[in-house]
Formats: sequence, structure tokens, C-alpha cells
Amino acid sequence: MRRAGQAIRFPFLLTIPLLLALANTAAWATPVTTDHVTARLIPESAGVRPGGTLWVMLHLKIKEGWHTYWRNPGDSGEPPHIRWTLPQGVEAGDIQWPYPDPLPYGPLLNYGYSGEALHLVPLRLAQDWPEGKPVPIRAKVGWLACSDICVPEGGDFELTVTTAEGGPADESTAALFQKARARLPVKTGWTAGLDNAGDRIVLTVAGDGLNAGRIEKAAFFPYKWGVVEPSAPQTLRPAPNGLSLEMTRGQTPDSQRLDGVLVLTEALHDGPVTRAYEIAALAQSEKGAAAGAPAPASASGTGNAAGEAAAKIGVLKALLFAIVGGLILNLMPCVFPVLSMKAMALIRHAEQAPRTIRLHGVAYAAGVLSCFAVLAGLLIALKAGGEAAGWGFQLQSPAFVAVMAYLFFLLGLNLSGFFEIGGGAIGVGDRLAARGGYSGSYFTGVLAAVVSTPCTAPFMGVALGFALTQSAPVSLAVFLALGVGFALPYLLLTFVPALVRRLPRPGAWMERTRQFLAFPLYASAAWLVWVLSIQTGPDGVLAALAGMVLIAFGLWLWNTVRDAGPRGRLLGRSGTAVAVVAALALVAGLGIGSTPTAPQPAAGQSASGPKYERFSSERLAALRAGGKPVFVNMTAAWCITCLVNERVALSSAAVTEQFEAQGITYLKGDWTNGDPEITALLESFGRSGVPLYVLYGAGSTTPTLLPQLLTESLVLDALRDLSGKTKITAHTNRRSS
Amino acid sequence: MTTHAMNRRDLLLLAGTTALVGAASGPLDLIRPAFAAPKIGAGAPAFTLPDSNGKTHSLAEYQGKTVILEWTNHLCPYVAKHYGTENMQALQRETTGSGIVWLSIISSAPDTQGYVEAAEANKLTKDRKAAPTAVLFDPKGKVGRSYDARVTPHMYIIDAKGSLVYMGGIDDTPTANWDDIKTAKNYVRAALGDMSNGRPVASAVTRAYGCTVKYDMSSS
Repeated sequence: MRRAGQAIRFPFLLTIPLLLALANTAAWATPVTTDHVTARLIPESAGVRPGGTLWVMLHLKIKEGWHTYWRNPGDSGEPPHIRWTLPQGVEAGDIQWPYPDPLPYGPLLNYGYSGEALHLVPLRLAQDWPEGKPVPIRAKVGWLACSDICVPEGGDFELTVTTAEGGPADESTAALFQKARARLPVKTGWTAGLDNAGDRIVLTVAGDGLNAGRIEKAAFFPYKWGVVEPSAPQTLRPAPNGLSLEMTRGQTPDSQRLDGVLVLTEALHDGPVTRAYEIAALAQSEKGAAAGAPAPASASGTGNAAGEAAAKIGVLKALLFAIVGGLILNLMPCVFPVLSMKAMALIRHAEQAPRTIRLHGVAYAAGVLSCFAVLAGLLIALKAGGEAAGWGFQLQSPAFVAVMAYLFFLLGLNLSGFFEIGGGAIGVGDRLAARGGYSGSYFTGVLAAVVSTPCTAPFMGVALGFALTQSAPVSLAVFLALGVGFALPYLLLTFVPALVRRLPRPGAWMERTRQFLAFPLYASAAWLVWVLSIQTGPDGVLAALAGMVLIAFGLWLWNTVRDAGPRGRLLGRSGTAVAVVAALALVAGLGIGSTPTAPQPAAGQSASGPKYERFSSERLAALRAGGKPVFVNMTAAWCITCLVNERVALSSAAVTEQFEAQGITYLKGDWTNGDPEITALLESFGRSGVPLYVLYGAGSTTPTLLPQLLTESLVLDALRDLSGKTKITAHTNRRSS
Repeated sequence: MTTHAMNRRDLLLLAGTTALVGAASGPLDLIRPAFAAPKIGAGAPAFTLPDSNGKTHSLAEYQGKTVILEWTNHLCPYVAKHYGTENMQALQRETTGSGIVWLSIISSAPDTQGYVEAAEANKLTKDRKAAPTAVLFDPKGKVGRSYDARVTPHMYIIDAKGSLVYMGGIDDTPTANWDDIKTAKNYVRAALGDMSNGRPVASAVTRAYGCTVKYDMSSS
């Protein structure tokens, strides 16, 4: 246990600048000290074989309050540059940039580093480099150091390495390189897409285990200047199998592609873990982009072409799109049932005076339009107030989503005949029959517009994207046009009585149709609960489903006491009220990202990387008793860090080879749905969650705990050290003394 | 196996859900008081500022003339690069000589780098042999912010009708290295060339590089 405790400190030790030792080696370059920076050029090892690669680090130790820059410096500044002077046969690669920090300066934002900056560069030695001939390396380095003011600084470096086998340098150097590598963006198998809408760009990233619910912080840093506005906020949202990040376009946008680094901070049980990922996003295909067309929608609702279109289409076209879009909305599963009931009421009351019917149509249209006007006003106000609001903004609140799910459930129950509105009439659509039921028609319009909103987002992308980039009056006009389109079919029915007469006669079919139409509403409710599952995880789903049970119970109570005495009725109705209030209270406090969904047990055979067995404490004990070396990997499907570690550090050919060469048994434990055996092992290492990586050497040596963030070289180093276990222990002792 | 099950579930729900979920969820962030970015082709933001000789200049009075705005801070190494090599002065003489108005604007707040009083500003102009039409003071940074001026030097060209036709860098080589001027493409000269040939400016928005404008942080 004591040994394990020391090992846990390992990552923290990495942060200590251990540079004094470097001065002892004659071959290494003399540091350059300027007013604000101490710069060193550090080779990873003292030798490199012909045909091999030597990693060299430009290390900038930066004075407090000052910073240097990333490859794209953001609003101002300049990245460091290295001009190499190398003999024939030595070739320098590009600087590998660790992910930057956002550095705000007033209203501006820069991308860079404070404290220290670690730049890795590969130097390749030609195969035909003469054995034993020293390799001279010279570099002229320049950097810009800024606080409130900026100072260009720089210096010259000279070092020589041998052609001897390049063993690992001393521990402090190894630690520094390890630290630099942990900050390098890793390649992932994720898919990335780019959507444009007005001045907004949305990056969508999808991949196995990538769950926005666990992500505390996300920041995207583009490689190219001007494609993303550095100082504008970036809004993280869950997306199917991943996440999306909404950003503001920069001054010189590129609507076709977006390359850069996505930095995610994942909340794990043992604290947050930050890692950077290489992103190369291409504009989404044009399919699904046409406004109002019921084409398959791209992940964020508007394709790239849609965004482009939004920028180009004129006001008139946008209005036309909006009207067509509104018409189509009538066919949405959320709206169609409500509307059908309304139409059936019309059929039933076809004998009423045409004027009355027309007025009902007008009242309904007014309801629709006022609802759209309120939504538009709200959006415009939010926009003016600087909120990053888009259409569907209401759906960003899990509480709202839950209440919408209740509403659809309730409407469904009504159509199923489980309860009646208005003490025994025939439900929502029947208000028309009531005298002075114009307000009923008006509110049916409002209701229809409200229930339509979840369906709106995918289809209204272009028109609304356009609307939101326009002046307030134009925005309002587009929204109202949408409302007009939405109200049109019903309005038409009320104004052209001939159309009503074309509809089938009233009869038993109406009741059956009504009952059938409940199902699209249930489906809508189910879908919203699924949305909740992404937003809030299982807790939110439980709350919403329990709320639905309460609502059903409340309605049943209401119906049951209908014919009871006044006291019984009061009691029953109070019970109903309590049930409904309880249902609302259950979902009122729902926040985003409490717990994510936990799919996919990770057991099985991975496509690449070393073969593994399913973890069990028995198997581990047996292997240990037999003195076999064992590597234990505790993972979970929802743990991004775990999955990425497996991909970038544990799946490589070199690691697989080492596992096989050393006869290491690889045990993998899946903690996706919890497992007491795994929990026990985690706790024995002082951890409360995954990832956990433990390397047991042959024999009875104490295990080595690897950090939560793995790199390939870190794993290889650990495997290399496994045989020389005693040496490591000695080092560790020295380090912690 | 399980992965397949996931995919099937995803497929089933895809039609209805993908787009919605994209639009749903995620807290609303407050945008920081952002720059009101001026637009190419739109009217340039109006301003009236005092110069180093006590005279006031407004953009409106230069209607009918091409106006170049240069945000500057004489202590910024990037500004020093263009003045130290006489690159900026040459362009100033070239343009003002052909009837173009050149306004150098200092948006550094008092006690920040680049802030100068009138006398020092005139001395700088004399010592550096600079040839702007006027050096204007914007210590509150109002005009700088209305133009979204982020760095020094940040360059703007306004045409005779008062429309913004260029904003961005002085050239295409974002370094503090004086030697780079020889090989750099000067965007301002290129834009003026386009204008005099009656062409639209080819590179109307470019990367402005340099030091941040030392704005008065209390008035943001």
C-alpha cells in the first residue's frame, strides 16, 4: 500500500521543473535567459542511432504574469519559431504543439502558455550517417513574450549528440518529455462535422463512449487564424453519440472545414482529467439542408449548405420557406393528432353558421400567431441581450423537456379516452361546440404551436437561422410567416365550407381515429424521455417516468370522484392536484449532465492491441500466485479518458509486442455498470473510479500504478522498467526524498 | 454485439431525434460584451476625435476622399518593425501625396503602453519622419472598439462614399522580424491598387497581427 501511495504521486512529480540535473551533461545546450523567459533545448537522450529519430524539446520557462503563444496565437501575438542549422543527413520535423490555454486580455483572447511551454520537435538521422560521428545541432530560436506589453526575444542553441544507443535520459528529462506528450493532442477515431448557420458554426463530434454528460469543460482551438472568434463563448451540447460545440465565426471564416484541437475536461471520480484531441471537421453534406423539406436532418439540424443558403436567401424567400415549413409542421407527429381532433370537431359541427366557423378559424390562427410572436420576441430579446440562443432553446432545459413529455402524455391519455376535458365533452377538439368557444379555439391554436416546437428545429433550420441573423422586424416577420403556414390548413377548412363537406361523414370512424392518434403523442413523449436520458442520465428518466405515473394516477382519481359527494370530490381533486404538483416538482430541479447513460460493456476482443481477458479478482490472485506479470485495466464505456487511453497508448503494435515479449497477462475490467469486485480493487489503490492502470511485475514485487492519462511512451517506459523493478523503486525513493 | 444493438437503437430513433437533440440541451452561455464588428461594404462607423494639434477630425468631413485608419502604439515591437524600416512612413507619404487621408489613431488608455500627450506625439511624428494627415487620440477606446481594432498596427480603408473596404493587417507576414518586410505582401497597397483600378478589394479582410490595443479596461 505504501508503494502504491508513492506511485500515485507520480503525476504530481511531473509538474516539478527538474532541470538542474541537465546542466551536468556537457553535450546539452546552454540555456538562454532573457528578461521574461529561460529557454532550453533539451534532447530526449544523449544519442541517436543512424536511421532513428531523436526528440528535442524547446522548453520555455516563462516569468509569472507573462505568456508565450500557441501555433495560432488568437487575437494577437506570434508563436515561437525555430530556425535549424543541421548537417546534411539530419532533418527536423514540425513543432508538436501542446494544447494551449485561453489567455483573455480585456475583450480579446489569445491562445498560449503561461508558466512553461513545452515544444517537441523530431530530428531524423539519415540511415547512412557514419557510425560514431557526432551529430551537431544548432538552432536560432525566437519567441514573443507578452504580459500587457509584448517583447520579442530569442537566442541561439548548440548541442551535440552521439550515435550511441539512445537510452532514456535521466528521470527529470523523461518526466518533462512525458509531461509534454500528455499535453499533445491525440488522434481519435471520432467523426467530426461542421455546420454553418449565419455567424454561428457548430462542430459536431461523435464517437464511441463520447458522452457530453461527463464533460465539465470543452474548448476548441482552431489551427487557422480567423475561422473562429477567439473571445466568443463556446456552447457545449450533448449530441447523439457525442457532443456539439457552437462557436462564433471569425473574421476570415472557412465554411468547408475546421481543423484544430478540442480540449475536453472529463469529470471522473478521482477528479477532472483534461486531454486534447485532433479534430478535422468537414462541412456536412448538402443532404437534409433544404428548408422545410422533410429530408433526413444532419446532426445539428442545419447542414452546411443550409448555413450557406441562410446567408444567401433573401427575405422574401425566407418568408416563403417559413410558410411552407409551417404547412409541413401540421404533419408532425406532435401536431397532427391535435389538429385532426380540431378538424373532426369541424366535421361534427358542419351545420353551424359559416360565420361562426370562420371566426373559430380566425381565433385559432390568432392563437398560433400570438404563440409564435411570443417565441420570436423572446428569442430576439435573448439575442439582443447577448444570449447564445437558437431555435429550440427552450429544449435546452431538461425541466422543459420533461414538462413537454408530460403534456404529450396527457394529450395522448385524452385521445385514448382515459379522461375527458370539460367534464364529459369529447376532448380537446370539441371546444368548438361550446357557446362562446372562440377562446377555446384560440387556446387550441396556442397549444398546437407549443406542441409543435420540438418538431420545428430540424425543419426550420434555414429559415430560422436566417431570421436570427436579421434585424428584429425581419426576424419577427419570418416567425409570423411560419405561424401563417402553420395555421393555413385549418384556416382554409373554416373558410371554404366545401372542403369540410368533402371530408368523410361523422361516424364511428372518428372515435377509432381519435384513439389511434393517441399513439403518435405517446411516441412523442417517449422520444422526449429519450432526450432527457441524454441530458440528465438515468435519474432524469426515472423522475419523468415517475411523474407520468403520478399524472395518470391523479387523472384516475379525478375521474373516480366525479360522481362522489362534494366532500369526496374535494378530497379526490386535492389528491389530483398533489399528484400533478409532485410530478412537476420531480422534474423542476433537473440539471444537465448529472449522470450520463452507461451503455456497452467493454468486454470482448478489441480490434487491435494486446489480447485481454475479462478481469476477476480470482484470476488476478491466481496469476499473482503463479508469479506471472499482469497488467490490469479498469475501464468503463462512458469514460472518454479510458477509451482514448486504450486507443492511443494501449493498442499500439509496440505495446502489444512488449506485452507478448514479457508474457504479461492483460486483464480488463468493465465498470460501466458498476462491479463490486472492481470497486474493491479501485479502493485498494485509493481510487474511487476508473480509469485505473496497474502493472504487476513477475514475482512478488509491489505493483506500479500508471497515471490516469496514458501516452504510448509512458506505457513503454513502464513496461521497460518492469524487469528492473528494484531500480525503479530506488528512483522513486530518490524522487520523493 | 452490444455495439450493434446500440446502432440499431440509434437508427430507430434517428429520424425523430438527431436534429432535436442537436438543438436541445446545454446551458445558455452569456456572451461577453463583444466587439461590434464593422462590416465590409457597410458604412464605416462615424467618429470625431481630437488630434495632436488641438484640431478635431470627424470621418464625415472626409466624405469624397479615401481615408486610411492606422491603429498605432509606438512602443509595440510590431509597430516598431514598420516604422524602424520606414515601411509605414513610405506608405504614408505615398498615399497622402495622392490625396488620400491618413489618420493614425492611438487608443492606448492613459498609463498604458503607447499612450502619449500631444507634444510627444508630434515629436514622434517628426523624429520618425512620419507623414500622416493627423494623429488622433482615442484614450477611452470608443472609436477603437467601434472599429473592432484589436492590435497595433490594425489597418482600415474607407472609400470616398464612406464605406469600409478593407480591414486587417498591414501585410501578410505576421512576425516582428524587420527583415520580413522585404518579402511581405502589403495588403494596404494591394487594396488601394484594386480601388484605383475600379476593382473590388480582393483581400478585404485579413489577419491583423501585432500587440493588443491597450484599451481602457474600465470602460468595456
